[in-house]
Amino acid sequence: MHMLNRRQVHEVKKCILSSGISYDPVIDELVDHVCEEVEELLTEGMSFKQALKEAVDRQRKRDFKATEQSILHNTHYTAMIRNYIKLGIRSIIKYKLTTSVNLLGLTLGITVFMLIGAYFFHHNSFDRFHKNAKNIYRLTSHKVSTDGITRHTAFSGAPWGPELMENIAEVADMVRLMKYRLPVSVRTDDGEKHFYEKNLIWADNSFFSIFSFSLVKGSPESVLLGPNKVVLTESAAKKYFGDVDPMGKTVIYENDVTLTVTGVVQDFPSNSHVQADLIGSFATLGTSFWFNIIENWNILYYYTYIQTQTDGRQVQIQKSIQSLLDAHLDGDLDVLLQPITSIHTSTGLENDLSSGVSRRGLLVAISIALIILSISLINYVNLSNARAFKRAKEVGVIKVIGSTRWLVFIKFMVESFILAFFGFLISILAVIILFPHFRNFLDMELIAPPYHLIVLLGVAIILLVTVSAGFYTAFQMAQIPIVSALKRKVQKPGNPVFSLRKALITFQFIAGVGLLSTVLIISDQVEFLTSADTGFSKAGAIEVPIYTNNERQLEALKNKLSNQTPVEFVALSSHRMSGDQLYRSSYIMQSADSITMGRLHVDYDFVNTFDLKVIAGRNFNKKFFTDTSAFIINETAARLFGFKDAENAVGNTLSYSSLNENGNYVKTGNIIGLVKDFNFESLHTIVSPMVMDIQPARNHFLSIKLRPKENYRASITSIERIWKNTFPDQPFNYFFVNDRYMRQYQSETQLQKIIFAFSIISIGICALGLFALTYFDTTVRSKEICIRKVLGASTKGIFKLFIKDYVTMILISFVFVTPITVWLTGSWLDNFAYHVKIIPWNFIFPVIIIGAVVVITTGFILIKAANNNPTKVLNYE
Amino acid sequence: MNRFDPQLLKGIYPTLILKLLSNHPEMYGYQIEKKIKVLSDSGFQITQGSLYPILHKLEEKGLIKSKVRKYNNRDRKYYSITRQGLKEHETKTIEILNVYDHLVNFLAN
Repeated sequence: MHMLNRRQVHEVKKCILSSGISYDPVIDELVDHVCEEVEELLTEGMSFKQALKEAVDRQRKRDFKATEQSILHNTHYTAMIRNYIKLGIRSIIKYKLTTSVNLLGLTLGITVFMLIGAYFFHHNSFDRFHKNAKNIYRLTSHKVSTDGITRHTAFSGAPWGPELMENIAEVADMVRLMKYRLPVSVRTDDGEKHFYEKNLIWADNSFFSIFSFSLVKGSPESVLLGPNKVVLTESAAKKYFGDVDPMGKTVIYENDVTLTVTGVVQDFPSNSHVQADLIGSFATLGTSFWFNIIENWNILYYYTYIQTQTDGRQVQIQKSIQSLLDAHLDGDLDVLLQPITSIHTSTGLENDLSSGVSRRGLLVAISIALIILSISLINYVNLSNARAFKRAKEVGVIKVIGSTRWLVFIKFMVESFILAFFGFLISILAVIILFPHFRNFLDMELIAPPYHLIVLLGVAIILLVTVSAGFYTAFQMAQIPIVSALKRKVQKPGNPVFSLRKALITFQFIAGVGLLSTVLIISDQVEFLTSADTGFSKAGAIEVPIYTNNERQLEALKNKLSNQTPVEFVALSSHRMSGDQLYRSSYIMQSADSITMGRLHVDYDFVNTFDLKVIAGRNFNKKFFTDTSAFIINETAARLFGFKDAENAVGNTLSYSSLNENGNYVKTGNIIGLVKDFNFESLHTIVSPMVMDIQPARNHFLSIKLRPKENYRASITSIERIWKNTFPDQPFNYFFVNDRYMRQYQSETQLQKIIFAFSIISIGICALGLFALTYFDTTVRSKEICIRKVLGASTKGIFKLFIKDYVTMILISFVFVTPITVWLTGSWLDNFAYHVKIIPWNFIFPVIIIGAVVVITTGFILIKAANNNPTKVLNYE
Repeated sequence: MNRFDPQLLKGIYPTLILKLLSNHPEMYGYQIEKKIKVLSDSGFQITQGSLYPILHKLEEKGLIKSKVRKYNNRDRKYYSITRQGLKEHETKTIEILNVYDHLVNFLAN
């Protein structure tokens, strides 16, 4: 029996389509039917042309159109949709390359969007779980000192809250929190369990009525009422008391204050900026310790939250608070209200309870997510569109006959819908699989967004994809002039100078170049953060918190440690050198103005341990008795005191007044040395004026500088042994200064990681899209390419012709993208007092990369097409 | 043999198709058309204009099902009978035979 070849089948189909039918299931069956008949006639000895004519003549009498109508008449529309779904799946399988490119791009886009979306959602969900979230504000203090530097702190004074409650009607309730900046000792009364707690906070009784932390045991009205009460989280309760009911049990705070457990609360959710394991009653302060301090209006060491009666009166309440507090406060201090929901996304406040993320960083992240999603959508639209053009003739025929046009429309929509639906399903699966890895990758807890949000997103994306791709394509099809559709002249959609497709591709380039340059700038900055000269040496230095001020013991420990070969220096200080925040006080030099300076209390070995550069005067020295009341200041301080030549500051007298439990006292001493500025707080802030002095009672950290090239692990083991000999009951919680210092840039590193990984993905999507598009372009234009070749064009010339368009688009995108990126990353960089400069290379390099991707992908296909044998291609039509 | 009046046969075509499908694992449209013609000695000649609507109707009723497979550069739809179709075929056959009996009686008298 004679078999029809592909071209002959195509001829048969053309004949059948010309009868005006458009319902695919019928077309396929009739094609098969007529083919079979033709094949029979061929076997009888007819030529193909004759056979086709004969077969169609026979059939036409019986009318294809009537068959279709009879079938459609009896077909329920659900069956029709079902049919189209089947067909859609078939055509999806048929065009494997496009389908996989399409699906891959779409899936990647949606997956990335959902992952970054989860990151965004997590950070935005902070503190929104409180029922009263809209009405809770925190008081923040802003002080402009005489040197013109404004200090913003999350701290407020202890007496402020009660005063506000009493005098301002709009303040419905308030709660004060206090958290000591260092770990505190807590043990059970039998001494069996003893821990140093980082997360013990003291809170007013209103804590559980203002905030929505769920108490498991105890009543929210009274758990923290009165002194010496403590509420434990479930994990803390387990840690101290195991499975025994902790209610009514007692723990001892700092070996001194007995606290009775009055409640148990669920562990705090990770999207709360207040984190605690133990919550002591605020009334304990002032009754068991800190007797006078608690009544001082000017000591800022507390967090005050108020709950207002009605929402939205922030400004008025702020004004009343300011005028009320002005009467009590020394100096200029602005008190502002900060909505609780914006605490996590505000940066630039000192002494915050937990570190937040920069709003600009979040904006950058979500913009990138949106850009990647739109890249993949555009890709999708472009590809379905390009594919549809291959069927232009089919559509043209249908239009000529005036057939049921909505059938064509439904066909495109259904196909588009199926792909979008699968794309979303695969993405969900990918997200479920990737989510834990993503968490590890970012090294953070992530709250998964609720189901309804995901479903909503899914519906939105599927609709968007279906409508934008299906509708757009269907619509474009409807606009094809019929004659050119029939003549197969709808070839290169990119022919006009401006076309939507060109615009969409240009958008992809814009996104690609923009993303890459953002990655470069952010990576530069992160690199700068990790390698910037901070003015002190961090290498090989470890720090250990100390829990005693026993000078004799500490001195003995220092001596023992110094005798170890791997140890170069040992020093004590009041603060960590790894991103800590200093105490600040007002200092007066002789009769000059006072300036606010950071206070760092150290010992005689500190300067050497961290290799600080003494540029004038000398270091502290044990031989000089008077050094216990001497000061070393940094350059910034000297400058602010008005010394043009910083060295002249040495030798002057400095005095400051300090508050302690016994009231005000004044300390006066000589400036004996001047050190080069060093930045141990963070590169987010500029180096502040700073003074160092010797106050053994205020030391909280032991720093050990190990010699280079030592085996750190072995050294630390031996150091720990010596520590345990000296302080058997105190934990040895060491950390490397460098690691700890870097940890404060966690949110920047996270951002860099996200952007880096996902930009690579999106550039991959871009490349995929380009690949597929050029593939289509060249298949559609294969005839043109061949004619050009026949007429004498070289492969190189054809390549140039095709690439010209892309080069223009890349250049246009370069012009567009530069200002936007400069603006966005520039404002992100402004978060840092010290940052890198944006350089032209940051934009030129991405253009080169994208250019290379374009040249490689298009080049590959074009060269293949251009090397085709022209006779084969031209013969086809 | 001469071709019967198609109007007369319209009602029995579905049963004929079911009968054919009950004897074959699967058949496609053209094949069914040919088979009916051959088996009836050209007495029953179903046109594609009647055949395909009937096939679609039977499929929608769940009496037959279809599968599309590639055949020689084109898609071909193969039909096969379902369990429900077999039952329907039985009842319809009995019904037609009954009609035939009655018809014979009626026309003979």
